[in-house]
Amino acid sequence: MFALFLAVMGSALAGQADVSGYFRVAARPDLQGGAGRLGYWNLYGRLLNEGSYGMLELRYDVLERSPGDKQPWSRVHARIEGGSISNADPLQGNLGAFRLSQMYVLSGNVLIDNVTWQVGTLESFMGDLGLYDMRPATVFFDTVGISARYESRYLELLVGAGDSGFKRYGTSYNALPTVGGTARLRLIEGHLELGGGGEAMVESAVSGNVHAPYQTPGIDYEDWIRGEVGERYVAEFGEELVDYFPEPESRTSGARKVIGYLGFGGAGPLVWNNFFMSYGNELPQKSTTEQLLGRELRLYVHDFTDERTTLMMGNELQLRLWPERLDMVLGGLYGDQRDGDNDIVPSDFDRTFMSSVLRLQAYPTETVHLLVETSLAQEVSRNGNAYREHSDSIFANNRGTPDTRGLQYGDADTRNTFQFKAGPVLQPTGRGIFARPSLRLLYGTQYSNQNNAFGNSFVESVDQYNDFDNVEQHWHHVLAAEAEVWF
Amino acid sequence: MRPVIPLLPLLPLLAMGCLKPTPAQTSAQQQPVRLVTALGSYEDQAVDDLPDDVIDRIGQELSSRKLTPEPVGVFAKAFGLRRGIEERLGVLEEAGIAQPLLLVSCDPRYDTQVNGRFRWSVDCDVALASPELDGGPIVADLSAAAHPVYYHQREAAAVSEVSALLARKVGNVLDQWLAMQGSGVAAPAPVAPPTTAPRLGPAPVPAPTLKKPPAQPPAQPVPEPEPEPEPEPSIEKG
Repeated sequence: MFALFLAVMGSALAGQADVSGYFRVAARPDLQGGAGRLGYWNLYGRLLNEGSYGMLELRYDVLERSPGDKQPWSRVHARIEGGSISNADPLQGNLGAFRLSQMYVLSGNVLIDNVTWQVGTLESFMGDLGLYDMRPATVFFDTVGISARYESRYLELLVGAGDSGFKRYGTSYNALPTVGGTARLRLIEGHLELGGGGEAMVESAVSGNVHAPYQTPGIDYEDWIRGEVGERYVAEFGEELVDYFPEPESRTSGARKVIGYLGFGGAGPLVWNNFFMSYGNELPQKSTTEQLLGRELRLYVHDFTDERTTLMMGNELQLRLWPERLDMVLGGLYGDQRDGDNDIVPSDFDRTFMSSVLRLQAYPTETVHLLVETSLAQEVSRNGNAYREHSDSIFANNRGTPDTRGLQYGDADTRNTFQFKAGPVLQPTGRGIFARPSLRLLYGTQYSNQNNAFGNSFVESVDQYNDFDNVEQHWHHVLAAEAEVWF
Repeated sequence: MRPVIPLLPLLPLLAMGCLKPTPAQTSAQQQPVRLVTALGSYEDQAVDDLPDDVIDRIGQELSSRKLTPEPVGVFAKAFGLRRGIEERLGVLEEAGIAQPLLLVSCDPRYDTQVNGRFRWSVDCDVALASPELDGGPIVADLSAAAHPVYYHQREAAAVSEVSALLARKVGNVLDQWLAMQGSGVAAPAPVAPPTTAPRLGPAPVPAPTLKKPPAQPPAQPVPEPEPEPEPEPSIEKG
């Protein structure tokens, strides 16, 4: 990476290449036994809930673009990013935490004017929910291939095709041909935009390919959840028939996703409002393993995991309440994940979540600002308890009667979270709620009905032989000095 | 009183934020500088003025040095065909825009999507032309990245995002010029007030404020009969 950086910087002097990027680093000593993050995830707002991050975007102009003409041009982009910075997280800035996440070549005005061809990674989004650092209206997140983007004053049109197999399966690669596209209309330039699109990927049955989708026939969903398929088989057929355990049957699977976007603003105090939505089904899981008479038993579970859907809707509103004195951003997020195969066990595939985040940034001076952010969130498990309100939740569950065959976890099916963050912000480049660099001194507090609702190292089991006692706490406080910069 | 106490640690920060840095150089006397800005596009040949907030920021750099900015209308058509700084200075000379003259040209280019933002490359040129600069205008360039949050934010938003850098660059050019004036390397020429003849001929009527004046075609400067310019003091190099 360093060599690549140097190579690019060397030629940057020629004016044909440059480096931009993003860094986020924080010192958050956690005096309550946590790992330096206020809560579990970005649903409560990304501020104080995300860790360190670094990203370098490298660009090289192979054939430089000229302003105002239709000559062909071409450039190469490469992005290196990862979530570790020395002294700021457990990975200590190890380069193993970084990856070449994007690499593509763009060429414009070749064959068709105003069309940009992209070959390589294809990720494309409609926009960002900045308070959450989430982009629901994204296509080709997993895809490498080719796309064409047509842009005119009132229309942006993207079509693409490629393969998503490596991103999804890594070393268990199986081809995932993917097609998709988006369209965005600027109905009133600078004031109203409308967009939509989608993608579809198909995974074909390839008999004999161990990485293709299969289903092991004749097994029961609850046995699979409990990890008792092998045990049930032996009980039913006896150890002598273990070699006749059913062979997997091939399947064809796939995933589809539709996205939508509505943006409007540029009127009065309304800077802009973004609304994004996405709905789609998840690719089925491939296989799990159990032990059967000391041997590994691989179970193929396509049919148990092929009815998982996710709906996400997010809105973010930016207001200039008092010009040059006070800005506000209000965000909302709703998610509904369903698993049509599962009615018995709580899971992240079968839940709803919603939250609202409000950020205010006041500007006493050009460069010294005050930030206040608060959030309210609720997560509900559809299949029973999924959260531990108490350290001894086992005694609170089912009226104090432990259920050793129960599939629930904890003593509550709902997690409610409140967060508040505030502090001074230094922004050398001036005002703006999303202006960077931003140097912040923040205090954050969280209240959750879940016990220790943050990354921690507490003993969770209730065992008389534990060396350490259980700890119950619902408030969490964090102090942070952090910097965030786009450059 | 007690609710105020937690805010006390913030006071030094606020106080520091109020401190304005002093420019490295200031003019010995108040003098006007013609200000021409240009915001180009890679998509077509359209050229407009820089956005108001950027012009204001440039104006502050001038004002803090005892220089009075006098915005001149955008030369949309001529600048659309000529993107180079020297070509554009030539256009202004042909149009008879008086010197000293500050030309700030930016040509932002949309690059790509990056982790939720829309990356733009903003290339700007800053040129100051003045009669006493025998070696030609003082020129500096800026190449910066901007990352607007919204897709609809185009060239103007990209330049606004880097306006602090651009203003700093403008300040450097002005300081360089004023330092040359102060050191006698090239003695400052008296700048003709708008009612007298500028060095390069008649100029469009300058706007009294930093608000955008209407676009003016460069080929038709306001033709006012002007008296002959007064002889300038000789320029001596120290």
